[in-house]
Amino acid sequence: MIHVKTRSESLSAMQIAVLLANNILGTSILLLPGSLSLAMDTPDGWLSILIGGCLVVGCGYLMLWFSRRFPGMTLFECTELIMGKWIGKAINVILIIYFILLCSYEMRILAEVVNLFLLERTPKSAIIIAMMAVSLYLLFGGLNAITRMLTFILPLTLFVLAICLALSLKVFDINNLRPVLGKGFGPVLKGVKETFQSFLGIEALLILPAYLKQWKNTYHAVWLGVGIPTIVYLLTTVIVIGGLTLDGAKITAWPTISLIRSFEYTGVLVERYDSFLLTVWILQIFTVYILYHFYMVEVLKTILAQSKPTIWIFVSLPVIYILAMLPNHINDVYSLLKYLYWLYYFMLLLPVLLVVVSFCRKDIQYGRTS
Amino acid sequence: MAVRPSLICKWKLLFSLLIVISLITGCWDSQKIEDLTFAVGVGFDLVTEENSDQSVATASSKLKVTYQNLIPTQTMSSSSSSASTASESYHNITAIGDSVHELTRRVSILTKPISGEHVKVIVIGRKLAEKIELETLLNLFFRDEEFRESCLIFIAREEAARILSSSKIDIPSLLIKSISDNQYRSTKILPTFTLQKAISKLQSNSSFILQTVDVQEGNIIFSGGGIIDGKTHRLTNFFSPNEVQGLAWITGHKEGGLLTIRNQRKETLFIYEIARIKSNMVARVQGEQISFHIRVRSTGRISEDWRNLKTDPKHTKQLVHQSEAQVTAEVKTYLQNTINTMQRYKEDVANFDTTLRIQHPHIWHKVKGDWNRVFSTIPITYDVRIQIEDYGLENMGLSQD
Repeated sequence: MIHVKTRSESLSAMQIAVLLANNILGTSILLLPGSLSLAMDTPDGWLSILIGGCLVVGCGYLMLWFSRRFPGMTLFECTELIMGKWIGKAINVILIIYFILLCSYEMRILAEVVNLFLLERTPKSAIIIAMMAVSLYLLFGGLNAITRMLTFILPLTLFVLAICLALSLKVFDINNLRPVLGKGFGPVLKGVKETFQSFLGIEALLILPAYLKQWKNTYHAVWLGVGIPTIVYLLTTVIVIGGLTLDGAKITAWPTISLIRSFEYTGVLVERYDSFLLTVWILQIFTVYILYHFYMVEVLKTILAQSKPTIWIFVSLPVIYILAMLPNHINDVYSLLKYLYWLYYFMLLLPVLLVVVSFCRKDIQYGRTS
Repeated sequence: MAVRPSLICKWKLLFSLLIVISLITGCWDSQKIEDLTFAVGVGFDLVTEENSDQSVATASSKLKVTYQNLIPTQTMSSSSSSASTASESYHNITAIGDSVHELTRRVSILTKPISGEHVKVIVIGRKLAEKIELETLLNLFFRDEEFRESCLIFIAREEAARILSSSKIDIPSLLIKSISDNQYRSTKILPTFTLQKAISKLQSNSSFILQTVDVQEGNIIFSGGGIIDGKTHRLTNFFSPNEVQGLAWITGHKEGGLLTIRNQRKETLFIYEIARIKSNMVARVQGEQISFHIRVRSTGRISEDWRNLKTDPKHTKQLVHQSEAQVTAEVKTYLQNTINTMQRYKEDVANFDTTLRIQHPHIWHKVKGDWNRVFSTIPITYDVRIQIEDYGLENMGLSQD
């Protein structure tokens, strides 16, 4: 029997939706159209995204159901409770590795893009360290501060993104998206896998509901939190493939940026819009990074049974930094991503394991003891 | 574990130091604008024996690059004592070398750092485009994030360097760009072709057509199009301005432009001003046989009339019908001419492949490997319907209102 302290911070359902959307929207805004086109070889990516989105909503429901079985407990606390102290700690260490790897991945991609398009001669280390310092500051503010910041960022992102995409309609050609289902349904299913991976971040639903004040409307939060990214991905993919053609989206490293760079509006206030897109995209990377860093801290708290593992947070920073700087080439980063996806699936399947074990074990009482 | 307050203070101090350090580095890699050279256009040529510069060219040299750089107005006014230098608003820098990137580096020995952010136009010399794959040439531009995907690509009839140095007062690159923006005024100008489009087309191995530019008597003129073959990625043939005009009728989506209607004795009868062209392609497949049908619809007005008309208003309607028939016949000759040329060259530059891909994806997969050859044998039919909306004929069409 583990005694869990009451949490000093709490979230509403709406805030969970916002955090979820922020957690999902990340690198994929720039990468998904390209990776979908490569995987599918047809312009039907938008269908996969729709299907994938619905699938993810289903997953979200299941996760909520899981959280509801163990009210007030995060996934990590559940693991330690159900799997026993040592096995649970081992699993949690795997999760820590997962979160640290994700943090490094986000930082590296951020550094790559900023280096390529914005600050050509600034060393990657400067970009990463600055970003990590800022998010560390926010992290010490606790979940409520993070939530406030993210609630502020999300509408901003959506607004700027919508404008950028609307302007891209200048080069949009519907013929690039046709024929629909020209190669049948097979490629669409292949694309669903790709889409599902770009919803990395959905695992927030295993952690955040522990902070819920009350369960009212939480299921709507899933719809909103998954719906926003789905719509963003859908529009991005449609407009990118419509603007660049399928083959164009396949060969560009950053399709969405290429799209924004392939047109100019002369005579308007601003001629080029790529820096706007990059600005909000960097904000999104920031949100993903800080959330994963936050989860990492949460696992640490559970493992160490401490309320403030300050030292360990500072220890994690150089680890993240070194891991981010380790790959020599961007392709190495992408191959790292493959392992990340395994861990992602592992984390999604973990609740299933826990539920099965908890059915077998009659000796544990779960629930918050306050 | 409780953390001692003094420790927290220390962390806070460290933390603020970190932020301050990263902030004060802010402008370390700034470049002053007066030290920068902005290139607005880039030209590529093949160096042959006769046009190579005396000393610069070595035997192994292949490429010649011409950067067109802006001279900021401030430097202009400062040197305005001599009128001849003041009138020049650009200067060209030329280098010769083996690869594009090496060239850009060689240019950096010659001048201040060149910023490629504002390159609007890439002009490729004819000989070079015939010799090397376009992909190789454009690769640097596409990979280098400095150049935007929105720059426009042109083929020079002769030498790109000559085109970029054609005008003394205007900046040739910007002139080319503004002429191509005029495409709504003429069907003889091809739709603008950006670097992004070119790369996509090259990637999908389909042929496309680039606007050709030429210099005649010191003026830049747009003269037809250069066809880039989808397989070899090289320049193979040219379209005459008339064939380009026919192409506009095939692909449609065009607003503006003129069509001169002549009689048998080549005298101008009237001018049909195109309000818009809409064309619709249908691919038909019967068994193995593919055929295309193009439906062309256009509305427009008679903007200028050279026929000495003395008809009374009752016959206006009849006259309009007659004119419409004449325009239709003229359009059909253009269409047929362009289709014949395309099939003779075995180059599909009018997006027939897209039509087939969309309408019959399965057939397309069978023929796409050998599309240009298949295309050359496909029967293409068309029907044209012209509607003259704006007569100006009520008062006999002799005066424009």
